[in-house]
Amino acid sequence: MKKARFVITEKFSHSPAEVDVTPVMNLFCILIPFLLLTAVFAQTVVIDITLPKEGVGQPAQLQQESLPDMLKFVMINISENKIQIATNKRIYPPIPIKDWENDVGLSKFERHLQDIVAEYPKQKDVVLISPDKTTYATLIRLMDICIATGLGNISLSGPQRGESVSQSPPNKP
Amino acid sequence: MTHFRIPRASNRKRIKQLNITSLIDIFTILLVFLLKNYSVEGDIVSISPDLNLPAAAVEKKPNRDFMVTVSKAHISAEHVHVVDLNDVDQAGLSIPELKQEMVNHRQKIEKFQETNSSIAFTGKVLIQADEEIPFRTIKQVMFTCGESGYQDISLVLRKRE
Repeated sequence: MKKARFVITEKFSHSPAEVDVTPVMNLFCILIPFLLLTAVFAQTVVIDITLPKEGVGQPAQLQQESLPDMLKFVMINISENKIQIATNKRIYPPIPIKDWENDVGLSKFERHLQDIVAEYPKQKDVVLISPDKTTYATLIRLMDICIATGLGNISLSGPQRGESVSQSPPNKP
Repeated sequence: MTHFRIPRASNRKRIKQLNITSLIDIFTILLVFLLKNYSVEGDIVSISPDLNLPAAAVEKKPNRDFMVTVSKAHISAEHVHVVDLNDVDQAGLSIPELKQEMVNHRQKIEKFQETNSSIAFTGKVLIQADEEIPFRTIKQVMFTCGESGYQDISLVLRKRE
């Protein structure tokens, strides 16, 4: 039987195996500038608002007939120094604005809304009553928490004049 | 007089064998990061540079519609200056200058609609406002949109990561 012979040449024995990385570098040099130029770091999203068809007036949520597993209304009342959630069954303790600035107030507010949703899972409507001075950022923050907890049908209202606009549910086609 | 040293044979050999492993490592990490953040859709809505949009965790993407911008200094429609915020009447809810601009835009689309059936007035409007704008001004802009026939309002926000 003939034995196989393996001959190690001097060339293979001394020089380490080198991978030619030039094509990879070429690819990187094209891809990275392209991706950097076309990158979008700040993405935009939207919250839909639908104005009431019959013109501004009474909040629709207050006029609806009460169902057994739904509340007549859920109101978030923002004033100069506190934010308070109230329903037709219960008034929650107010959250001071100074707590609202940190996560303590934020988590309290979220917990109150989660309690409402846990007790009344079909409840989607919430009225946000805000004074004129409230900043847009605060309103969006509150609306964002409401949507995240499942109260997606938000109405904005002013305390004095009673003008209102409604936010359509997020899953609306 | 400046002297240039001719590199020795050993130095020339060292330059030839430049180690680019670390460079490839950096490029690979950068490439993975950029590919992960790459958005195929792009950004349809252009945000004004003088705006600081509030952030939200919602997922819905904006469509290209009529755009009203409320910055700290002025209100503009489709990136055209309409009125300064100092000149907006605080007593009423309507903003006549904005209403005029929006009604003109609506009439233009309705005119096109007569000749081209593929164009239709949808009544959709995008509002992008600075996060420090008071609710009063937002309410005035929304009321004016409603008055002008733009019932479907979308508030443009920055996506919170």
